[in-house]
Amino acid sequence: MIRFRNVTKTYPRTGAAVRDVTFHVRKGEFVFLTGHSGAGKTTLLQLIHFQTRPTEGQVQVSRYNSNRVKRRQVPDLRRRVGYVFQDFKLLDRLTAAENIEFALQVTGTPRREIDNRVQRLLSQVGLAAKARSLPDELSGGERQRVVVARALATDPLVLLADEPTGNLDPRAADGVFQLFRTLNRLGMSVLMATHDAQMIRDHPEIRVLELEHGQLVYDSLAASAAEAVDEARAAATTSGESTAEPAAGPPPGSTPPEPPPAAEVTPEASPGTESSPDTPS
Amino acid sequence: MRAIREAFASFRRAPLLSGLSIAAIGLSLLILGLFSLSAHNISTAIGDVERRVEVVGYLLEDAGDERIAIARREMEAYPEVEDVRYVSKTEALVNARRDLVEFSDVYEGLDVNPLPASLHLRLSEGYRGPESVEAVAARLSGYEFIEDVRFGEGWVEQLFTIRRMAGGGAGILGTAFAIVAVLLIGTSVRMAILARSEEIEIMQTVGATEGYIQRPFLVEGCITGLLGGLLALGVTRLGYTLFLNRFAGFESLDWLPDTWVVGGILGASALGALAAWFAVRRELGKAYAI
Repeated sequence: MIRFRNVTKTYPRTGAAVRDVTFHVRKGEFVFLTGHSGAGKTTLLQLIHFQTRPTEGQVQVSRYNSNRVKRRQVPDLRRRVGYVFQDFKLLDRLTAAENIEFALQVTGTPRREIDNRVQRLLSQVGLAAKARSLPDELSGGERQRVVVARALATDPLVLLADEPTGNLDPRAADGVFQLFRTLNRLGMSVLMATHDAQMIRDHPEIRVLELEHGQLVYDSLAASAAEAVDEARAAATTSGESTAEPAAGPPPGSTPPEPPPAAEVTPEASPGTESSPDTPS
Repeated sequence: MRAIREAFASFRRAPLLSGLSIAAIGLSLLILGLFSLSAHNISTAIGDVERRVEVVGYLLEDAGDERIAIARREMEAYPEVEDVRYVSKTEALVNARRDLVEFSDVYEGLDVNPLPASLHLRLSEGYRGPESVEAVAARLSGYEFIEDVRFGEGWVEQLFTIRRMAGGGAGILGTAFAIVAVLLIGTSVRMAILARSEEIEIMQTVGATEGYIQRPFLVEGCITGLLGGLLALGVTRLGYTLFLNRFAGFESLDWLPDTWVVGGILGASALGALAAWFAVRRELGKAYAI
């Protein structure tokens, strides 16, 4: 679904925002992306959304490769990757329903389908009763739900959320997070940037990618896989076996198993769900 | 349709800015329009004078009618020569008395007519330049019965210099004002883009195509240019009717040819679209330049 291969993004004035990052997010996976402010989280999300291109390495999202994508294909990629902002970016003069309608209109949805889809999306995020409310009349949590509904308007395969709970009180934040969980259970990949350590601790089953000064310093999936290998070796040593297969998988409720980044040469898990990286679009 | 609707919505959202842009473009084009009016009339006037360019060959007393008739036929066969008119000695005297009133005493009571007969050659269009005039004059002076040839050597040269300067001036001024108009429309479109930056960012984020986002601004530039052009045309016409043509004693001034008017309006519109295109590429091009 999303594959980073030795990706570096350097800006002329501020230097490298992302350094030599390699990871792979599978279809249907939920991932926390964490790190201090300025660690490179937003740049990484922008790279996935093709808002910027890598200085080195390559980003593969579904069938689109950052090194080969054509300018006219970028809108199509963005329709497959929903984006949720921390500061909402709702149009204040439009109601909740109209904000969603706007996204449908500008992406060419036939007029006759728009009303039904708006209603469905509002229901999906639990805001059917607030369709006619202006953003100013909604709470922070409700606004963020409208933003999620707007991001879902184009039926994306993956949802990127840049600090979506950063401006919300804990209760509203949990409501939005639960909405992401629900969407993830329905099969959508979710990549959520957050520096809410408590939220990450409360959900140990969710994979964590941690950035520091633009470098990927921790991947919980790789760590648990390595831990499993260590445990298996220790068990084998104790029982006198010379070799052993890992006895344990990733933590319960976590994402599908995947080798650590260093071993990222395996093809995508489910043939047919995605094209190969080289498939022309 | 959406692009046109959006373009007009943009005018409604910022009527003052749009009005100022149209007025500024209109002013630039008005100056261009007035200059065009002047250039057109100078050109017409020069054309009138050019049509009067003649090469005159004065004949010797003993030229003889037959030789003159042969020379006349030969001259008329040249492509440079539109027609050849013979002015007899008597006719020359009548003309002199009529045209040179202050010397009428001199021409009264003469026993002998001192004025020579002459051949007046008018030149065809396209052959009224100094080189053609001189060539025809040289050919005419080749006849042995021609005593002298005159063609206003100095002023033919000057006439064509004025014409070249008028043409060059129109080109330079026209280009300068076109650049001003492009800059103004570009700024106006950039401000419109800025005013809608939030909407545009959302469109780019959810996956609207570049064309979808850019079209309303291109249409806006086109309409701004068109309205500016119409405004300039209206004011130029008003100025022509009220001032130039009635009070300033320029009754003989011509209005612009229809092709110039239509060309000016379409040109203004195209300039608007071009300016908008530059602004759009500059402001919005980066979002998809992956």
